[in-house]
Amino acid sequence: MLERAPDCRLHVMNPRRIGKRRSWALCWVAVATLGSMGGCTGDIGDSPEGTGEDDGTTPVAGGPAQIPDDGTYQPFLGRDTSYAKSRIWQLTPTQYQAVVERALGTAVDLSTIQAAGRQDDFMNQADGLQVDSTSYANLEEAVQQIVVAHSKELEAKLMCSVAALDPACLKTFLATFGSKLLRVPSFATDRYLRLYDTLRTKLPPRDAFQGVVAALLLSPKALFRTELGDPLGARKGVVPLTSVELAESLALSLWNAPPDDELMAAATSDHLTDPTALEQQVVRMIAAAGGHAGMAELISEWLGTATFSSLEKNPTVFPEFDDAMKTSMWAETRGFIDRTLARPDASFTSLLTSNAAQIDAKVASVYGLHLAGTAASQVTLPDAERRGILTQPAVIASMSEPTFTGVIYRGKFLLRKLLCTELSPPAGLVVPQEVKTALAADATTRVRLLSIQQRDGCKTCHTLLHPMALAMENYDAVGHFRTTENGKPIDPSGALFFTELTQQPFANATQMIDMLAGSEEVYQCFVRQSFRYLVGRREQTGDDPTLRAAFGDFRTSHDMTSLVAHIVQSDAFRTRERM
Amino acid sequence: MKTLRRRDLLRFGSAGLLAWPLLSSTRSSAQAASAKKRFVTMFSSSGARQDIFWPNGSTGDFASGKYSVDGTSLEPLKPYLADVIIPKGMRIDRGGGDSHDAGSVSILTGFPLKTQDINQKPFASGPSLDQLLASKIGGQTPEPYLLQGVRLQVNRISKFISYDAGGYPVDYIQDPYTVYQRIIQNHVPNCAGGSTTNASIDLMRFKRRSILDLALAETGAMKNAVGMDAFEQQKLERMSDAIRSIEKRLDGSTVMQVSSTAHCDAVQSELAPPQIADTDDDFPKLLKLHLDLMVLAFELDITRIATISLSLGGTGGAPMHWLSWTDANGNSQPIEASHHNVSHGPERGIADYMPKLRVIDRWNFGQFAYLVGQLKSISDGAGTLLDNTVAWYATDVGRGDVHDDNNVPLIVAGRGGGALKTGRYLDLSGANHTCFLLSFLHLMGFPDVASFGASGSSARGPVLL
Repeated sequence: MLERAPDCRLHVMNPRRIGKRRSWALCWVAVATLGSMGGCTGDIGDSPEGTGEDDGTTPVAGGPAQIPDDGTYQPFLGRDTSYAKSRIWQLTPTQYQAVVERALGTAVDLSTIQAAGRQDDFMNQADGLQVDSTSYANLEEAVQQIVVAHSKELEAKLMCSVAALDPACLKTFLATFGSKLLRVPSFATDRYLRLYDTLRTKLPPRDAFQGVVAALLLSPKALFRTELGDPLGARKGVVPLTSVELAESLALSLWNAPPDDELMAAATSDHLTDPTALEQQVVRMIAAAGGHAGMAELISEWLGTATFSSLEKNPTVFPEFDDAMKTSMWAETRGFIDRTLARPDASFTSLLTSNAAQIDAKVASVYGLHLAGTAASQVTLPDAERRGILTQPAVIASMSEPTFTGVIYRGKFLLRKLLCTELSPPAGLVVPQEVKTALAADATTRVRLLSIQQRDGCKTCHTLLHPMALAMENYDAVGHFRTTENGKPIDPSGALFFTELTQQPFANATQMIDMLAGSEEVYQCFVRQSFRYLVGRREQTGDDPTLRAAFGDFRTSHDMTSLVAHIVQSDAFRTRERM
Repeated sequence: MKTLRRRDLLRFGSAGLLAWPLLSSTRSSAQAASAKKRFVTMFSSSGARQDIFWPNGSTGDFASGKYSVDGTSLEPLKPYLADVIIPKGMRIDRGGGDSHDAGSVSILTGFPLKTQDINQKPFASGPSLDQLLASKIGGQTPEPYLLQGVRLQVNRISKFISYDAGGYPVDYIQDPYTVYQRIIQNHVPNCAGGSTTNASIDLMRFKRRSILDLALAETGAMKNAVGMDAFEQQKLERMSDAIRSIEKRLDGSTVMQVSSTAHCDAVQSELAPPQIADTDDDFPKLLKLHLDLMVLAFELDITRIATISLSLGGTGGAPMHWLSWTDANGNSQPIEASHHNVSHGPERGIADYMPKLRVIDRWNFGQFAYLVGQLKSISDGAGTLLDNTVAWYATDVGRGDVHDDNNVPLIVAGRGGGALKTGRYLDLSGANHTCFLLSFLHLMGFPDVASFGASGSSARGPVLL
């Protein structure tokens, strides 16, 4: 049998109550837990009557016991705050590149360490990142090239000529460039000074100097941030992050980039442990140029578009989906995110529903619009066909397959991303052969899916999966609006299975998105998603007080900027448990 | 030979303990040192059509004419049937969870999936066979192992089949040009024609090693920081391992001077500009270059353990436009989707998926046949590389459309230094793939190992032997 670590804090999924009591019991198996995978050999929701989780079962922490019997939706019910333990947190490739470019003052080529391909979860999770022999070899080779390619910029940072490099001059360089690169006020430079001497025994000063810079770039201090906390501030096993640690976490979370001089100065004089000073910094950081970069990354990763540039489509079916089209689509969506975050209300509902677009002729053609010239124009997309970011081509294309709509993936994706509902995968699933043979070759996706949904073993979870996915069938794999499939009309209607609005019917995707945009469950899910991105881990029951407080404001304001500011000032962000 | 250190056992808890009996065999390691045996895994997701896979005739020896592969998807292997074992009735022992994720994790580790969250490592409970062998015999060659991937463009658990001792995934080199520079050229600079002088290589190595020495010292120092618990220290220990693996690569003792071989020249001409584009449509060229590099690495004895993955399960993957199928009217048309999507044809609106799968299966097994043919074309000791290799084609499910775990198309080629009798069509009903992993471990020089993986190759033992 499979054994699970007793600490399942990072596996706690959002408990949702779906439909009536019986179907909830079935779905809990599917929705909630990874903890009992050892017995999980059936398919989604396929627990036979009487053998699944029953209503009286005591669930794991964070499980459905928190859902009251009357079905009212009361999220985040955990009362006790617990803290995540102290840790180190590897920079993402994008963050590392930003750090190097800030220190160097110029763009560098680190394409070989960047992630390629689709990623369904946040890429910055502290326990998901890993230095392995391949990734570090890629980095080492890239660094060796960078220090040669940028030797001019590097030598310009020396207070002496490289030919006359002496220990004092190198020390000054390390204290300035090195500290900036490692995001610390100062660090022990002895090893680097010794490395220079070692390299000088066989190499000329320029090569030795480049070697010292390479060593800084390859240091664990360059690759990791620490969140170990200040031992002097420890109380009852709980330690606050040091000001320097907090500065780095704030900068990487809010900007996806290293601290600037002002933030570093505040950290160095230990101001950030004071809540008022912290708040001032957070307000300043969000208002600064690039102040929304981290939030834009959050939204981009949440919607699966972070690696959009490496997305490929079937060129036979979608010859128009070339690099220029990708650039154009991404410009639309990234611009939309940035403009939404820059609004005074930074409105989450606008993100989901606004049809105010800024598009160029290329992406306009996907919308069936004809624009002249190459510059982007402001247009209002047709309300009957489009609704907010979820129907933008870059987002649609990212949740689709190269040729097809990827209907099952879309259904899973939308449930996870908007309702934080995780379906357990259909392990050991055997799709009966008659599902495959009984259908006409030109059957619509709806007909094919319904033939699955009607089967006993598949019903529970496919009933959840299908409505959102079928609503999106009006958009093909690159985001064109379409009304027919195989020459037959598409029926996008369905019903959402909210807890608060059980089986609320909708006619099409635009209505569905309007409903989602007004749903507290969706707001709550976005609070969870934001927390995961900003704090770099899954929420656990001990985070409920933090999440509840963040949600308390967000449920009425819908202000994404305030939400993020709230989370980065929370104890969960600033405090660690010392193991 | 490198063995697990005591602190690895502590570090990896029960996983390490399970692995321990496998690693403490000293007698067998002496045997391993005496023969240059190679081990190859070629993995591609989504199984195969069952109705056209199995040979015609009955199980038994190929030499006695018991079976043929005419008309089956194994037909590309026809020239090599005397070198191949086709096993019937194999189950893949993958435990619970998503069948593709679980299949990928278990195919080489023998352990079930440990998590379904890509951000919750480790995914496996112990090392994969390639990494285990690398830890045991990898020290005999400049590179302990080679791990290649072709256009694996989605980051999900099913991407990874190779796992370190702690069950953490080991990432692929997906760029064949990097394989050449890092794995081949680093150790055999003159494969390119010998333009680089040894003195400049020595100097470059000295510089890179000195820098890495510092990174290693810094990593060690960081591990001792106040507040760092064992779990966090492991993150840094993996970084230390990564640094050491590069340092080993830069160890001057691994530079080999070889006279240019025919294969070396062939690879050189393949590497010449224009560079192959890193796109789905260039998949066949990328794969061929990867396979040629693998065979070259074997020929030059740069490594003896190679793993290559052609596709990951449960996701689109490269649409196989380079393949054509013939419709009912006799018109040839390109295949529009990936193997995974075609295998789910009816649910995804792909018409005529069965004839398309026939083309795809034949192509997949054709790639394995190409590898087998290349290995057979190169002399090694008294025989060929194939004689001294155990190569197997592995996948994660039996049939791609239904995700089952039975009758999984797993094909074995090569004689493993003479220890493996090939040219057989076997009925191994009741055995699971961990019996293969155990067989491979025995063949590679570790016959004292009694069991591999979580469940139990012990049920049937090393069925291939």
